[in-house]
Amino acid sequence: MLPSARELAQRHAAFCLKYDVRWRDCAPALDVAVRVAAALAGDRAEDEPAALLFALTIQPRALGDAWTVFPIIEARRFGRSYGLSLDVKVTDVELENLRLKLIQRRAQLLPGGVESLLLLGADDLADMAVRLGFLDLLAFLAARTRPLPVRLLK
Amino acid sequence: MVATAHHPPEPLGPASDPRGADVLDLVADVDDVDPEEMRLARQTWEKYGDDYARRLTDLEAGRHPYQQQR
Repeated sequence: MLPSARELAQRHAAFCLKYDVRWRDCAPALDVAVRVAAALAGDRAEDEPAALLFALTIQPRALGDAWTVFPIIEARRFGRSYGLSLDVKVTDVELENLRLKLIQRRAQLLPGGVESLLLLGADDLADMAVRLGFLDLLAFLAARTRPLPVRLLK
Repeated sequence: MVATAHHPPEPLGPASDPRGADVLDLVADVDDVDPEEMRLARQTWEKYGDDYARRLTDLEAGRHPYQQQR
């Protein structure tokens, strides 16, 4: 199950504290991210880590300096809660390319902001996510996802 | 504003108080990032700031800090 916006905001603050990252008040963006991710994943729990990474990625200005690392480690942490290991480096060049192209398309296709995704019906939201590049991100993560060894499950 | 252990971030709004014990308790649970990866990531966001278009242009031209990894 996706984290609540409050949980995500707390972890974002904890991330900024741990790594001495400049903090921005992005609570509204995190709330939008959780709602977009939930709408996008629907009842496919296995898609939720990618949906959350997608929804956080397309809000770079809200997250500021945290955009570079926080969405990735949050997706990894979230995957672990499902017993999945996402073998994704923060500095993976292919992932950086996918994420930067997502926000490039977001600027072109969603001039009204990410919130406008929440006004769409499920089918239109899925179509827009595909146009933005969600399937590329989904495939990237799927190729790097493995079940966690039982001894590492919490 | 930079959030550090000595200078916690400002409040997130009504939904959360980042200076609360609940947030401080979460710091230990934040994923560890390889120091070299974190150095490159920090170098990247400090170089580009909010200019993601230039960041993508540099990536496509092979000039992105991540492409300097050993």
